Amino acid sequence: MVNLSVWRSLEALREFTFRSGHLDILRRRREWFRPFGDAFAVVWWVPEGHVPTLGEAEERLDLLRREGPTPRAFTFRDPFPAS
Amino acid sequence: MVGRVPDLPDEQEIDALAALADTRRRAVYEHVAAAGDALSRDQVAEALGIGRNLAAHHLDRLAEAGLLDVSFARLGGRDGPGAGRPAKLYRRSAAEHAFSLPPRGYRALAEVFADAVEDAGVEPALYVAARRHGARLAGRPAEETLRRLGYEPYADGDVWRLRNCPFDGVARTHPGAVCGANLALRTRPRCARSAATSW
Repeated sequence: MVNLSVWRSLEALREFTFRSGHLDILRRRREWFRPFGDAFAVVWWVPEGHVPTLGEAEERLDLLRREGPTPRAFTFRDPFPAS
Repeated sequence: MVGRVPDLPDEQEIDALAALADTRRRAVYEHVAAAGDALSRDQVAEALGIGRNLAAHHLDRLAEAGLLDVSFARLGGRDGPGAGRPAKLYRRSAAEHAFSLPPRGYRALAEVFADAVEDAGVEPALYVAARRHGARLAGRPAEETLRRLGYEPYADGDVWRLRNCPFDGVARTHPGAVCGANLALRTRPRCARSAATSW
Protein backbone atom coordinates (compact mmCIF):
# COMPACT_ATOMS: atom_id res chain seq x y z
CA MET A 1 0.00 0.00 0.00
CA VAL A 2 1.53 3.28 -1.06
CA ASN A 3 0.63 6.73 0.17
CA LEU A 4 1.99 9.59 -1.94
CA SER A 5 1.21 13.28 -1.46
CA VAL A 6 2.64 16.69 -2.41
CA TRP A 7 3.02 19.48 0.16
CA ARG A 8 3.94 23.13 -0.15
CA SER A 9 6.56 22.92 2.61
CA LEU A 10 7.92 20.56 5.23
CA GLU A 11 6.32 22.85 7.78
CA ALA A 12 2.88 22.33 6.18
CA LEU A 13 3.40 18.57 6.33
CA ARG A 14 4.50 18.87 9.97
CA GLU A 15 1.48 20.99 10.77
CA PHE A 16 -0.76 18.26 9.37
CA THR A 17 1.09 15.53 11.25
CA PHE A 18 0.99 17.38 14.56
CA ARG A 19 -2.17 19.38 14.67
CA SER A 20 -4.83 17.56 12.74
CA GLY A 21 -6.91 14.42 13.24
CA HIS A 22 -4.07 12.61 11.46
CA LEU A 23 -2.27 12.26 14.78
CA ASP A 24 -5.09 10.19 16.29
CA ILE A 25 -4.77 7.71 13.46
CA LEU A 26 -0.97 7.76 13.56
CA ARG A 27 -1.08 6.80 17.23
CA ARG A 28 -3.05 3.68 16.37
CA ARG A 29 -0.91 2.56 13.45
CA ARG A 30 0.26 -0.61 15.21
CA GLU A 31 -3.30 -1.88 15.06
CA TRP A 32 -2.81 -2.19 11.31
CA PHE A 33 0.89 -2.03 10.47
CA ARG A 34 4.02 -3.80 11.61
CA PRO A 35 7.48 -2.26 11.17
CA PHE A 36 9.47 -4.11 8.50
CA GLY A 37 12.93 -3.04 9.51
CA ASP A 38 13.78 -0.66 6.68
CA ALA A 39 13.02 2.93 5.69
CA PHE A 40 9.35 3.12 4.71
CA ALA A 41 8.84 6.87 4.28
CA VAL A 42 10.80 9.25 2.06
CA VAL A 43 10.59 12.98 1.32
CA TRP A 44 11.97 14.85 -1.71
CA TRP A 45 11.50 18.18 -3.45
CA VAL A 46 9.66 18.46 -6.78
CA PRO A 47 9.29 21.51 -9.09
CA GLU A 48 6.04 23.41 -8.58
CA GLY A 49 3.18 21.86 -10.53
CA HIS A 50 4.94 18.50 -10.92
CA VAL A 51 2.87 15.50 -9.89
CA PRO A 52 5.23 12.68 -8.89
CA THR A 53 4.53 9.11 -10.00
CA LEU A 54 4.66 5.89 -8.01
CA GLY A 55 7.79 4.94 -9.99
CA GLU A 56 9.53 8.10 -8.80
CA ALA A 57 8.52 7.37 -5.23
CA GLU A 58 9.97 3.87 -5.50
CA GLU A 59 13.27 5.25 -6.86
CA ARG A 60 13.53 7.79 -4.05
CA LEU A 61 12.81 5.21 -1.40
CA ASP A 62 15.51 2.94 -2.91
CA LEU A 63 17.91 5.89 -2.89
CA LEU A 64 17.18 6.59 0.77
CA ARG A 65 17.68 2.94 1.66
CA ARG A 66 21.00 2.79 -0.22
CA GLU A 67 22.57 6.13 0.70
CA GLY A 68 20.73 7.37 3.79
CA PRO A 69 19.29 10.92 3.87
CA THR A 70 20.62 13.11 1.03
CA PRO A 71 19.15 16.24 -0.64
CA ARG A 72 17.60 13.91 -3.28
CA ALA A 73 15.85 11.62 -0.81
CA PHE A 74 15.51 12.38 2.87
CA THR A 75 13.34 11.95 5.93
CA PHE A 76 11.24 14.08 8.20
CA ARG A 77 13.94 13.65 10.76
CA ASP A 78 16.93 14.68 8.62
CA PRO A 79 15.41 17.25 6.25
CA PHE A 80 17.13 19.21 3.46
CA PRO A 81 16.02 22.62 2.17
CA ALA A 82 14.61 23.00 -1.36
CA SER A 83 17.47 23.89 -3.71
CA MET B 1 45.15 15.51 42.59
CA VAL B 2 43.11 17.64 40.22
CA GLY B 3 41.33 15.90 37.37
CA ARG B 4 40.52 17.35 34.01
CA VAL B 5 38.55 20.59 34.26
CA PRO B 6 34.90 19.65 33.62
CA ASP B 7 33.16 21.09 30.57
CA LEU B 8 30.78 23.80 31.66
CA PRO B 9 27.61 24.34 29.64
CA ASP B 10 27.97 26.50 26.57
CA GLU B 11 28.59 30.24 27.11
CA GLN B 12 25.16 30.94 25.56
CA GLU B 13 23.41 28.67 28.03
CA ILE B 14 25.09 30.38 30.95
CA ASP B 15 24.19 33.78 29.52
CA ALA B 16 20.53 32.76 29.11
CA LEU B 17 20.36 31.57 32.69
CA ALA B 18 22.19 34.64 34.00
CA ALA B 19 19.70 36.92 32.22
CA LEU B 20 16.94 35.41 34.38
CA ALA B 21 18.76 35.93 37.68
CA ASP B 22 17.24 39.42 38.05
CA THR B 23 13.75 39.01 39.56
CA ARG B 24 12.26 41.97 37.69
CA ARG B 25 13.63 40.70 34.40
CA ARG B 26 12.32 37.24 35.17
CA ALA B 27 8.86 38.74 35.67
CA VAL B 28 9.19 40.36 32.23
CA TYR B 29 10.14 37.01 30.69
CA GLU B 30 7.28 35.21 32.41
CA HIS B 31 4.80 37.82 31.25
CA VAL B 32 5.91 37.60 27.60
CA ALA B 33 6.00 33.77 27.70
CA ALA B 34 2.49 33.59 29.16
CA ALA B 35 1.09 36.06 26.61
CA GLY B 36 1.60 33.70 23.69
CA ASP B 37 1.42 36.65 21.28
CA ALA B 38 4.22 39.10 20.56
CA LEU B 39 4.12 42.12 22.90
CA SER B 40 5.38 45.70 22.58
CA ARG B 41 7.46 47.53 25.16
CA ASP B 42 4.46 49.63 26.11
CA GLN B 43 2.26 46.58 26.68
CA VAL B 44 4.86 44.98 28.95
CA ALA B 45 5.53 48.23 30.84
CA GLU B 46 1.83 48.77 31.44
CA ALA B 47 1.09 45.18 32.50
CA LEU B 48 3.92 45.10 35.02
CA GLY B 49 3.59 48.69 36.20
CA ILE B 50 7.15 49.64 35.31
CA GLY B 51 8.60 52.44 33.18
CA ARG B 52 8.83 52.01 29.42
CA ASN B 53 12.62 52.42 29.42
CA LEU B 54 13.07 49.81 32.10
CA ALA B 55 10.78 47.41 30.22
CA ALA B 56 12.75 48.04 27.01
CA HIS B 57 16.03 47.44 28.83
CA HIS B 58 14.92 44.09 30.21
CA LEU B 59 13.25 43.00 26.95
CA ASP B 60 16.38 43.78 24.94
CA ARG B 61 18.59 42.02 27.44
CA LEU B 62 16.35 38.92 27.21
CA ALA B 63 16.45 39.08 23.41
CA GLU B 64 20.25 39.39 23.49
CA ALA B 65 20.43 36.29 25.68
CA GLY B 66 18.38 34.37 23.09
CA LEU B 67 15.32 33.98 25.32
CA LEU B 68 13.04 36.27 23.28
CA ASP B 69 12.65 36.77 19.53
CA VAL B 70 12.22 40.26 18.13
CA SER B 71 10.01 41.38 15.25
CA PHE B 72 8.71 44.71 13.99
CA ALA B 73 5.12 45.56 13.14
CA ARG B 74 2.84 48.57 12.97
CA LEU B 75 0.27 48.33 15.71
CA GLY B 76 -3.35 49.44 15.48
CA GLY B 77 -3.71 48.57 11.83
CA ARG B 78 -2.26 51.88 10.64
CA ASP B 79 -0.07 51.72 7.60
CA GLY B 80 1.48 53.93 4.94
CA PRO B 81 2.84 57.47 5.46
CA GLY B 82 2.12 58.94 8.86
CA ALA B 83 1.71 55.56 10.51
CA GLY B 84 4.88 56.13 12.50
CA ARG B 85 7.75 53.79 13.16
CA PRO B 86 6.91 50.11 13.47
CA ALA B 87 6.84 48.90 17.06
CA LYS B 88 9.45 46.46 18.29
CA LEU B 89 7.67 43.30 19.41
CA TYR B 90 8.91 40.48 21.61
CA ARG B 91 7.82 36.88 21.92
CA ARG B 92 9.32 33.83 23.60
CA SER B 93 12.00 32.19 21.50
CA ALA B 94 11.44 28.60 20.43
CA ALA B 95 15.14 27.90 21.07
CA GLU B 96 15.66 25.42 23.87
CA HIS B 97 18.02 26.09 26.73
CA ALA B 98 19.26 23.39 29.01
CA PHE B 99 21.56 23.87 31.93
CA SER B 100 22.69 20.84 33.81
CA LEU B 101 25.63 20.22 36.10
CA PRO B 102 27.03 17.62 35.96
CA PRO B 103 26.15 17.53 32.23
CA ARG B 104 23.11 15.39 31.40
CA GLY B 105 21.74 14.64 27.96
CA TYR B 106 18.38 12.94 28.31
CA ARG B 107 17.27 14.27 24.94
CA ALA B 108 19.77 12.08 23.10
CA LEU B 109 18.66 9.08 25.14
CA ALA B 110 15.00 9.88 24.45
CA GLU B 111 15.72 9.84 20.70
CA VAL B 112 17.45 6.47 20.99
CA PHE B 113 14.50 5.06 22.95
CA ALA B 114 11.99 6.49 20.49
CA ASP B 115 13.96 4.97 17.60
CA ALA B 116 13.91 1.58 19.27
CA VAL B 117 10.19 1.81 20.06
CA GLU B 118 9.34 2.69 16.45
CA ASP B 119 11.70 0.09 14.98
CA ALA B 120 10.25 -2.65 17.16
CA GLY B 121 6.68 -1.39 16.66
CA VAL B 122 5.95 -1.45 20.38
CA GLU B 123 4.22 1.94 20.62
CA PRO B 124 1.22 0.36 22.42
CA ALA B 125 3.58 -0.71 25.25
CA LEU B 126 4.92 2.84 25.39
CA TYR B 127 1.40 4.27 25.67
CA VAL B 128 0.57 1.84 28.47
CA ALA B 129 3.71 2.89 30.36
CA ALA B 130 2.88 6.56 29.81
CA ARG B 131 -0.67 6.08 31.10
CA ARG B 132 0.72 4.33 34.18
CA HIS B 133 3.14 7.18 34.75
CA GLY B 134 0.29 9.66 34.44
CA ALA B 135 -1.81 7.66 36.91
CA ARG B 136 0.96 7.87 39.50
CA LEU B 137 0.72 11.64 39.33
CA ALA B 138 -3.05 11.58 39.55
CA GLY B 139 -3.31 12.40 43.27
CA ARG B 140 -2.63 16.07 42.66
CA PRO B 141 -4.88 18.64 41.00
CA ALA B 142 -4.72 18.32 37.21
CA GLU B 143 -3.52 21.87 36.73
CA GLU B 144 -0.60 21.43 39.11
CA THR B 145 0.44 18.15 37.48
CA LEU B 146 0.30 19.65 34.00
CA ARG B 147 2.29 22.63 35.21
CA ARG B 148 4.97 20.48 36.79
CA LEU B 149 5.30 18.42 33.63
CA GLY B 150 5.96 21.64 31.70
CA TYR B 151 2.71 21.93 29.70
CA GLU B 152 2.01 25.51 30.82
CA PRO B 153 -1.76 24.95 31.15
CA TYR B 154 -4.26 27.78 31.13
CA ALA B 155 -8.03 27.73 31.54
CA ASP B 156 -10.11 28.64 28.52
CA GLY B 157 -13.76 28.38 29.48
CA ASP B 158 -14.38 24.75 30.43
CA VAL B 159 -11.17 23.29 29.05
CA TRP B 160 -7.53 23.44 29.93
CA ARG B 161 -5.40 24.49 27.02
CA LEU B 162 -1.71 23.78 26.96
CA ARG B 163 0.69 26.43 25.82
CA ASN B 164 3.78 24.26 25.63
CA CYS B 165 4.71 20.76 24.56
CA PRO B 166 7.47 19.68 26.95
CA PHE B 167 8.58 16.99 24.49
CA ASP B 168 8.63 19.22 21.40
CA GLY B 169 12.12 18.25 20.19
CA VAL B 170 11.60 14.48 20.21
CA ALA B 171 7.97 14.92 19.13
CA ARG B 172 9.23 16.45 15.88
CA THR B 173 11.53 13.55 15.09
CA HIS B 174 9.19 10.81 16.37
CA PRO B 175 5.62 12.17 16.31
CA GLY B 176 3.93 8.76 16.33
CA ALA B 177 5.63 7.48 19.45
CA VAL B 178 6.02 10.74 21.35
CA CYS B 179 2.69 12.47 20.67
CA GLY B 180 0.89 9.23 21.49
CA ALA B 181 2.80 8.80 24.75
CA ASN B 182 2.18 12.47 25.50
CA LEU B 183 -1.56 12.01 25.17
CA ALA B 184 -1.55 8.78 27.23
CA LEU B 185 0.42 10.51 29.96
CA ARG B 186 -2.37 13.05 30.37
CA THR B 187 -5.24 10.58 30.21
CA ARG B 188 -6.96 11.04 33.55
CA PRO B 189 -10.22 9.17 33.85
CA ARG B 190 -11.64 11.17 36.74
CA CYS B 191 -10.50 14.59 35.65
CA ALA B 192 -13.26 17.19 35.92
CA ARG B 193 -11.83 19.25 33.08
CA SER B 194 -10.55 17.64 29.95
CA ALA B 195 -7.18 18.61 28.62
CA ALA B 196 -7.26 19.99 25.10
CA THR B 197 -4.12 20.47 23.09
CA SER B 198 -3.35 23.79 21.52
CA TRP B 199 -0.01 23.26 19.86
